[in-house]
Amino acid sequence: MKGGEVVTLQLGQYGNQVGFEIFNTMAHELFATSAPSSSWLSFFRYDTRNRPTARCVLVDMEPKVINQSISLAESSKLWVYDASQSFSKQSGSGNNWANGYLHHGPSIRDRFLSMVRREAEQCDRLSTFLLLQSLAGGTGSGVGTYLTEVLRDEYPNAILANQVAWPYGTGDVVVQTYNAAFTLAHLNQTSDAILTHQNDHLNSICTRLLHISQPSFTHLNKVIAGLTAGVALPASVLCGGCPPTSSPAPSPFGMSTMGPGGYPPAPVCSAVADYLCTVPRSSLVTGLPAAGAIGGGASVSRQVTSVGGITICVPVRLPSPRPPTPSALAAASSSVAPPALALSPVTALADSLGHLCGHPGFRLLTTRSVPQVPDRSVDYTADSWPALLRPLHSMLAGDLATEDRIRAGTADLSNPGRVCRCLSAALFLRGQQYQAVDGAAFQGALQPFGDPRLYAPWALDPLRIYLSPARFRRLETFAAVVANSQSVVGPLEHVLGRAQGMYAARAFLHHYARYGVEEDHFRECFAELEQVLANYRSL
Amino acid sequence: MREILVVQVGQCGNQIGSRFWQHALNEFEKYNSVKVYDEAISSFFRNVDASGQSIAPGPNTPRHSLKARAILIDAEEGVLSSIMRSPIRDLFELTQFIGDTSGSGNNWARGFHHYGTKYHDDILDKVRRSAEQCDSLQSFFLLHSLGGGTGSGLGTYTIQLLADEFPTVYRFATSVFPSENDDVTTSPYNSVLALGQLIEHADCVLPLHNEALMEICERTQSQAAKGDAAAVIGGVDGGQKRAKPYDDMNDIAARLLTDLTSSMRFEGSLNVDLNEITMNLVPFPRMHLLTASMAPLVRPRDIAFQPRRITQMFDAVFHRDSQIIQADPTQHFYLGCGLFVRGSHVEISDIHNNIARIRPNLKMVPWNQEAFKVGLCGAPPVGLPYSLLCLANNTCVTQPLEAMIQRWNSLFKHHAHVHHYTEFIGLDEMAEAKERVLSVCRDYAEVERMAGTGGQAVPRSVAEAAPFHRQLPLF
Repeated sequence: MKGGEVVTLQLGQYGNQVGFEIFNTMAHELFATSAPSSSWLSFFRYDTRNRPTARCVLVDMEPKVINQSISLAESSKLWVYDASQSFSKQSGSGNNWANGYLHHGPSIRDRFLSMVRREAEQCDRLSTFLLLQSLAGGTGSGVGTYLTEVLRDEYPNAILANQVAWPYGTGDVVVQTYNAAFTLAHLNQTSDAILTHQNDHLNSICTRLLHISQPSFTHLNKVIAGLTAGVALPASVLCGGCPPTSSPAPSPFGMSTMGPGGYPPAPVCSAVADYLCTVPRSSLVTGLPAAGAIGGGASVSRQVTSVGGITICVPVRLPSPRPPTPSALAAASSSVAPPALALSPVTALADSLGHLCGHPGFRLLTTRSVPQVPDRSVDYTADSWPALLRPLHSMLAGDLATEDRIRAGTADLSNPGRVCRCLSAALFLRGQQYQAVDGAAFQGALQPFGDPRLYAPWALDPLRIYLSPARFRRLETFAAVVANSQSVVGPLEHVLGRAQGMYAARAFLHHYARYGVEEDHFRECFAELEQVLANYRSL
Repeated sequence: MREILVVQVGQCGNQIGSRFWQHALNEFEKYNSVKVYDEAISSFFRNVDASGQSIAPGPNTPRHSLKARAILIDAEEGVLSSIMRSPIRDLFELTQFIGDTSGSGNNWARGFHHYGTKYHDDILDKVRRSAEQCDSLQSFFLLHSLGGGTGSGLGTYTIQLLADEFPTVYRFATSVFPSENDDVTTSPYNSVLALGQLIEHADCVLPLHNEALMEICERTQSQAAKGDAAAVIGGVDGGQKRAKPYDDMNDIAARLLTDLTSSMRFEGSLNVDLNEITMNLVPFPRMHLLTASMAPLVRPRDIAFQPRRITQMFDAVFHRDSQIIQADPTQHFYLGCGLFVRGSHVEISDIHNNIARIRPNLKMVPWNQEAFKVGLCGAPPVGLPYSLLCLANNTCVTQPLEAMIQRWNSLFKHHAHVHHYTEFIGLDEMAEAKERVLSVCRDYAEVERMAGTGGQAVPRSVAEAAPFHRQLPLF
């Protein structure tokens, strides 16, 4: 697979439940509807009996959920888990982050690494680790944090993405805000990207859009699976994107682009990016290390077509491309005219995460997708791209959890105080080919996403668009947007405020002290999160 | 393979225990009708084949003879021998019994000091042997009453022993509080002395108030009479006539234990381990007395009503009538509240909707407004479509403690019966136990007082243990 494989790590009860749903959704997309192609190899491999097997390591501190997930996968008849790649202990982490991080985590380190190594050895070129964990419990949060740090040491070049579940506002666990604060503060230093899903939002998607009156965890997990698969499945880059303005404002944080793990983008990128317009993308992507492919989009001149604020590379066949701007032509004049090229799929996950998390101070991502319709309505849903992208844009700009078709006008960006600003965004369009639709309408629908008022003034190359002709969930059109935006400010403020309140009352501290987490550690984590909050507020 | 070892001490403890084992067996009969010895059963029972060997659980392991993971202790023979005549006698081996003949004479000090030292080695040996038969011992359940001599004295001696020998294994004490007007004159002494030990050495105490249990039973019986059928709490053995007077009350205690452990035994979409309970509900050390309430307490089809709705169940557990201690939690502050649902047709959104609905009527401490711990287990209790167990750390728990201290004071004022105790312990030890109980009461009172004014509460004991500095802003 071009772009490298993704190894998923399912941690704790949440991770194992949602992981099953994600793989199951992807398996249905990849195997059930079409003949298997090589594109599915980024998430699956063959086992000895030639069955598609999830590239996955399952970890929990108690055995019940893992066994359940393995047998559910077996009964799907489409794919399986490798049961030898699972590991559970008998005693749970007891909702205690400290227990997971300082006790259970170290005790399973070697076992875990050997399972990961076995999985990594089966990869052609491992690019990404996707860790699925909750923030509230002890195993997902504590053990997950520890294992992220272990992976960072052992696989310094891989992208580490943590997908976390933000707990219900009313709470499943009393100490959830402590656990969440610890986890987020630690992940902020080790992880490359933190994909967040809020249970409250998922719940409102289920009740309002999917018409489920009593959503269960399975329903919520299916929504997460849809969001994740919609992003992670193979797609092609439509747009490298160029700065919305000719010279972006300087970043207040000093550096504008950083590769994953905090190291700068590989120096190869500018040369490669010049190349980007004239050679098949396929050869470009295969020839690049993961970090290079990530940094590659930035600060290069290339032959472009302007469509509103965004810019679209010529090699991609666009409806009625307008003539290239003179400046772009001048920049590209040294190279030969680009041949018409077919798109080649990349692992959209690795590529987009690198694009989205270009700055070490901003790692929290939120995902939204349209349309969210019940399965029974899928066959009757046929949205045009403009009808789909308009509500998505207002969700992005107005920080809404669910689409609102009735009130969805074009989002008003004129009031900066009400715009949920982004550092970067990745737009995923699946389904009906853009060639088949009216070019001007398509361009018009994409235009608002490139509006510079949506992004931080210093954001460089903020939007990247991925396309796939394959239908998702049989939908004629499907769009998802992953954004590194201010929409995390609210939930983060909530978690931090509650945790600090409990800390001031000195509640529950003795449970953490029992495993060696002292009060200094609480304060350090709170300070780290204050910094993250300040970063996002300043966007 | 996560096990629980039940230590049942004294007459009351053993009576609750025998109901509990009956409940546990019934539950496994329902959910495991194919007679396989799986991991769920192994948490309560050993599987012993004809040669006396324990067999490890597995998906295809046949069930041989089940042996309860229990230690039965009493200073009299009566209850133990009646267990050996009961239908569940096969669950126990003689090596699990510790018995004496003379009784503790309703004297905590005799139970703790006389029998404690006498049976120290025996208890330790039997507990160790049972612990070695476990794969991963999760917790000890102590079943006892506080009013008498053996349960309170020897029971708290045992829990202190367990705390020393097995510090990492959680210790839950299910303690029956005596009634105001019970037949044991010295019960205030025994209760306070025992509580002094429990506060120090147990991880979690679940007080069961005798009077509250009686009231619940009376109410369910009168409801049943209206519905023209026998009410059965927990629905164990149909409409059979009860032989023993306390069985109904013991059934409530037994169901409390089966509900509490259901999530670690059966599958569910939101599992709760026992160690999560203290983690979530005990914000400060020593403040670990949790009030329990359950719903529904009557099997719906036994009465003339239609099956109750889930929302009614949630209303019920916060109602005074469902509390197993005599106090009204809604008038006091919640430090934490655990809601553990069993039932296959209850979804997580039901629970959250109900919490959101009920929350405005509850007083939560200001620093922990979202103090809800939620569990969801797929297997309902036998005979019910769903059930709800609520464990709460509520400041109302001080009411029975204060009442107990008052009764202590009225006895102690005249030094009545004190000489029975000074045979074994000094007056200072009695004063110390009373002071421990009082300090917990003060801590709860302080939390309540601070919560009432909207301020941050730091209980006295915590503040003293590690001084709290406020001199610098942290950020």
